[in-house]
Amino acid sequence: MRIQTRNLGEVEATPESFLTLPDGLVGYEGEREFALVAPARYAPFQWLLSFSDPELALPVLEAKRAVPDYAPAWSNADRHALGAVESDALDVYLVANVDEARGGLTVNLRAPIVVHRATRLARQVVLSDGRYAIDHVVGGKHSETTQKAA
Amino acid sequence: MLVLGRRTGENIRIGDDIKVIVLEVRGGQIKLGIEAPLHVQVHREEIYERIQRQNRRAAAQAPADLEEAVRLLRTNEQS
Repeated sequence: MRIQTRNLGEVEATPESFLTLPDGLVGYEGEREFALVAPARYAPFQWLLSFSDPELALPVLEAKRAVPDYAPAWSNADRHALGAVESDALDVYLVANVDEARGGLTVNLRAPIVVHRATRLARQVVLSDGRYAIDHVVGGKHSETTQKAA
Repeated sequence: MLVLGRRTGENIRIGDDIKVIVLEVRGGQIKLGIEAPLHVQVHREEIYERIQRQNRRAAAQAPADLEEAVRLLRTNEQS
């Protein structure tokens, strides 16, 4: 299937890359069908692409690569939404932003995108733990994971 | 907007399955307990708005802006 995007042009996505987010993304609640693609040019970034909104293409990083010690506790509500699964059945991605004001690349630790690897059901989880920053700087000298709570 | 006055220990019901409990009122701050079904997401509004802004911003950035980040990440992983 070909997905039209403003940022990346036309992108070929295979069914294995498809994801369903029944609640959409925060701010894009109506968008449910996505593909998670990994164009070589942007590796290690991957892109979460909406099937229907060409403007909605989010660069994400695999959490275990970007922030190796990141291991949030999922709530019962989140487990339930994803099909009540064990943590090792889940892949976790972080929305990435280039933010010069913050000193480079940031990832959102507060609202990870969690994917049930087997069913391809996914959800943008909003963690209640305020220690997880929305704009955590990746690498560099500001890489502490516990930043001031919002 | 519906406006209701409640005291500590009193509740508000929203539909069949959402209950908001006033736990404590002190010094301009109110502590609420919320019982809702698992599928209903409950968040502080300002957190929700910040995440929404961050998502929008991530979608709006030009791929060219990511290229420097791509280069840095690859360099870090090689070292």
